[in-house]
Amino acid sequence: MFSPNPVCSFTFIKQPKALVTSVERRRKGSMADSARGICDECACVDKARAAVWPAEVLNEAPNQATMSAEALNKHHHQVNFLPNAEDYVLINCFGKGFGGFSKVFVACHRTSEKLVVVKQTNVDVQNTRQLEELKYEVQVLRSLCHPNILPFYCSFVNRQEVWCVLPLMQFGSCADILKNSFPDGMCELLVSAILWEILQGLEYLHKIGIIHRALKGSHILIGANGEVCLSGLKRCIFLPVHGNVDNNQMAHQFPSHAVTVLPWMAPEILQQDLRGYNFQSDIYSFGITAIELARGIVPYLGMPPTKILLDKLKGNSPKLCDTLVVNDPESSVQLTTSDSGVESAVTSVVEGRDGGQPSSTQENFSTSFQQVKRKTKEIVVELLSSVPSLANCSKDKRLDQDIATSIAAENLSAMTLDEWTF
Amino acid sequence: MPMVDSMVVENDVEPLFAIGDHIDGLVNLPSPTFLDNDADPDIFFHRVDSDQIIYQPCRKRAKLIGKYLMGDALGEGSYGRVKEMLDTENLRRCAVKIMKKRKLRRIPNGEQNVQREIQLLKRLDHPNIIKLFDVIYDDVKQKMYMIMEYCVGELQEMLDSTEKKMFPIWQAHGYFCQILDGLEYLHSQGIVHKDIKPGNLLLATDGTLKISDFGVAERLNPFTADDLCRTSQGSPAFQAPEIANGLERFSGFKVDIWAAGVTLFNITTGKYPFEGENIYKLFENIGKGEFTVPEGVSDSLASLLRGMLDANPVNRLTIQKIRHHRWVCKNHHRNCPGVPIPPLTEGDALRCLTVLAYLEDEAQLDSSQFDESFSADDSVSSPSTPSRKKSFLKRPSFGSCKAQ
Repeated sequence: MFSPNPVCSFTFIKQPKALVTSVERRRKGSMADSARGICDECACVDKARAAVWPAEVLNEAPNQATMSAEALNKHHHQVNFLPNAEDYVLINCFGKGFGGFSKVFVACHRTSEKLVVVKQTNVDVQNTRQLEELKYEVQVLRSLCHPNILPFYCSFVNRQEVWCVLPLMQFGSCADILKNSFPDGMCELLVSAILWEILQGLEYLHKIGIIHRALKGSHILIGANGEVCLSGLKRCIFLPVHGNVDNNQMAHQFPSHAVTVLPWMAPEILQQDLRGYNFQSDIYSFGITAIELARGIVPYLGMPPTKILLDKLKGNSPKLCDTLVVNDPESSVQLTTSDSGVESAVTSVVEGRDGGQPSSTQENFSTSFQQVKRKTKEIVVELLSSVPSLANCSKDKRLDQDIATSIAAENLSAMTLDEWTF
Repeated sequence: MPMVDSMVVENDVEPLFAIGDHIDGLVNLPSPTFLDNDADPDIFFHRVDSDQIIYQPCRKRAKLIGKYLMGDALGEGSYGRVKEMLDTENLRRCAVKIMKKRKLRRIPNGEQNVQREIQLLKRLDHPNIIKLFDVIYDDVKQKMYMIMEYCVGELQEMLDSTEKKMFPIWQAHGYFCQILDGLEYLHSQGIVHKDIKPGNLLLATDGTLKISDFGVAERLNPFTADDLCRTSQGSPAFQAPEIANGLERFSGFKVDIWAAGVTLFNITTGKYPFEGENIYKLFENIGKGEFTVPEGVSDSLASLLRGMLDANPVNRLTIQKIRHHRWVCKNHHRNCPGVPIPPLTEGDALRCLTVLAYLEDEAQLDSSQFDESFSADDSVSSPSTPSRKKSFLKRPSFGSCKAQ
């Protein structure tokens, strides 16, 4: 069980001295060719985990077997992010996470000069439940490794704060991109490219028994090279698989965050009856996210929670065209004709989730996503060329930590990145 | 007031007109001058409150207690009715115990027991202990609402639905282990439940067992070393010999072990270890402490039952010893289907949200008053139900769903 003592509960994050030096040695060797790309870097997560992860901390943690062989091979070509506060120069505070309890900084990793995101959470001002949530998030993120899941570099305790080091996803979240650059929705090609990548991430999660439960536009982050990563995993749940893998295994826990992601939440989760829910609930959220990306606005936006609940439980499912009411008629006609591929995919997702396995759903999609396979990164980068990068707007503002915090307050109001949730 | 004043001038030749405070166009008319003049005998004003206009009786009328929307009844307890509820803020399904002060006064120690239960439940947090989310007092109606975790059924109800009044061993084992977890936690918190029995063991939707009903539980003085108790008000058939024999002081934890033993006996055999035509006979039999384990019970289970139902509380097994008992440690095979949670009489086997019908009522209400909603002023809420419904829907704290 979790220790009630906040200091104790985070001790597992600290690395023993001996291990640090061994990691350091490897890092020096790999400095020369610091491979670019999220996928390469994320392998270090697993190495860090191997070094610091006590077996008893998370017994359901997916093991190395679930990692692909390529990912393991890439261990030799990557930057090591050490749990050392001095290694990171904080540049710019650009948001808050974790219910406003943590500050999110763009930082520069001294040795590699890479830009990263540092999330600082003051553990002194939080209650036990919040601490457990934070700990759960760290545990889950550390245990995952997939090119479409936001990598987790390291976390450590610095004074009264827990620092989590994550990669900087320069284009921000899909919600930001929609808000700033595509208020009427993204084009079908871009939507398909992003969704295709997300589907890979989801499939990986489902394979190792995780239901994401909070899939939405603001949890899809896009990196400078077109990497599409899924974040927001602190809301996920492990579907209990007791020894014998029972395919009809169902989860029943009602997520406390349900209201915050209500438009994306599957009806069976909200129903809270004896049936429960499973991985298919993520597929529903995936469908709603598809509508969100294609339309620039999520269905049900602005409706009171009880209304949404009623509508969902009555069996009404939002259609891609439904949101057209808010758009002007001219563009809507154009959109309906061009988005037919995504339209059919969305309909099949949101309505026809009858008992299909995640992989089989993926097969259903593959036809509609045929065109985007393999070259998604190029598509994403090309189509997002107009979107301002987070790195550009922060690079010229290198500041000391103290000044950064004061400036941060100003920036916070100026920047529209309040929807960065990790 | 959120209302439309429709004024019908009857005893006059002037045409009919309606006035709403938001309609500027009517200001030019000469008539508003007599608005203040209610005493004018020639003009008869017929004021129609918006509440009266929109009010339509429905089969399931939405009723709100604070932020909670009332659903169908779940059952009736000795203290009051239990109904389903929906927390309209986080959409969590809950259950509410509704208690009337008048009724509580008629039950011996009624009010005191309820207060004690609230005090105890507030401090507890364990997966096998029922959670208390909220308590609402209604001084006007003299009612009290205890909002708790939603459960689908109790073990007793499941036992009653079967022919032999018992569970298959694997199922009983699963429940028993959860009782142990819950009891261990309670005892670690210095709480003696004193009323462990199948009727007080509830099941959540995922099948998790929840120990409930802390009406007769006792919190031990944290500064005393022992667990001695003096009173017991639990169910007779589950009372330990030391209580049946009228001992003045007894070990509280061992009393819970005994009751858990009787529960285990009951759910595995369908019988009670001690019976009697009346409470005196029953207590006499319990006091002797002699019982027979029915045939067909495995040796390991029989030994566990004898260990837990030891008439001498000193020799009775502790929770730690029970945990290491071979019957508890054994992995019991799921060789037959378990007893399901019995379907309700209405035939809803899945236990769908019953608040849905009430939500629908809410929605109808909302759409019927949609046209005037923009002029509604929620700062004043009249005590009548419809306007309360309205203010509920537009309460600022209620919020609307924003993309995050």
